[in-house]
Amino acid sequence: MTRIVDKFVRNNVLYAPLSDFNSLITQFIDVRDLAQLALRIIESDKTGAFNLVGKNSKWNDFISIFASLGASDVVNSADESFPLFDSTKSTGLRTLRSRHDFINNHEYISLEKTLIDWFRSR
Amino acid sequence: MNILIIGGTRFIGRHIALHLFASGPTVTLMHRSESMALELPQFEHLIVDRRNFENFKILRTFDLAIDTCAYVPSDLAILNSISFHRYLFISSVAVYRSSIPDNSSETAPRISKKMRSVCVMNMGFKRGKQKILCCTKFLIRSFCDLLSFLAQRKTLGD
Repeated sequence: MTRIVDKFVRNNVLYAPLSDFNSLITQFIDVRDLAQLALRIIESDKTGAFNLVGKNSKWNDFISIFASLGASDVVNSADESFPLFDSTKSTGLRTLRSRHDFINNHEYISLEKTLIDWFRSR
Repeated sequence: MNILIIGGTRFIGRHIALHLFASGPTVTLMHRSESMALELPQFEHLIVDRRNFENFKILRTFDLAIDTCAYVPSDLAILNSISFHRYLFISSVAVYRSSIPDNSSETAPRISKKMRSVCVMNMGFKRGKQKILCCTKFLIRSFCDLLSFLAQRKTLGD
């Protein structure tokens, strides 16, 4: 994901998955949310597995936000430059949830704020 | 509370370190970069390469070790030189089987032993698949009562 933002900052071109994927639901989590939830797990003394997967979004949302930031072009690619989406067998294309209420009820940072903050920090 | 973060200078580890620092515990960062030690003076730093740590030993015991950068099972060897009461491992959703249905929870089946072998043979050091090997190594060592395991989704941010 970092590579996508870095390329965008360098030349205003957004490298995105094939358009077939655009309406698919995917999950993003802001690293700040991940850090906060990790701390809650530490403070609660809980052990076990915890899915920190964030809220459901569509790739369209991701692309629209980048467009609002000035993307001049969108390159759809599923080759080695975008290996996350080269197979429908990837777990990366399935949504997950948590069975822990404190994770599900966490107030996640919006995708728009995440991407704008990230873009401005580069 | 005395916390060690392995790989705490960038991305997830850095954010956890900054959040922890704001809430009071003593935080030690273990990493390879002397320049990062200067950039983050509020922390104690242990400059060591987890893949090349001959004769490295920490005498004190940490309440918690947070491991943000174990990518292959051999990365865990350094834990024999560290004493801790609890261990938090940052993993990946790739530890789950590809056949799981949408909306599965933490109880979903993870990649089987057979699949892990196939992954190693076919995918080399592909990060997610290696993560499950790291987790499994811990379970074999009966660290279950110490282990928290975070399966993270596509994580965004600096």
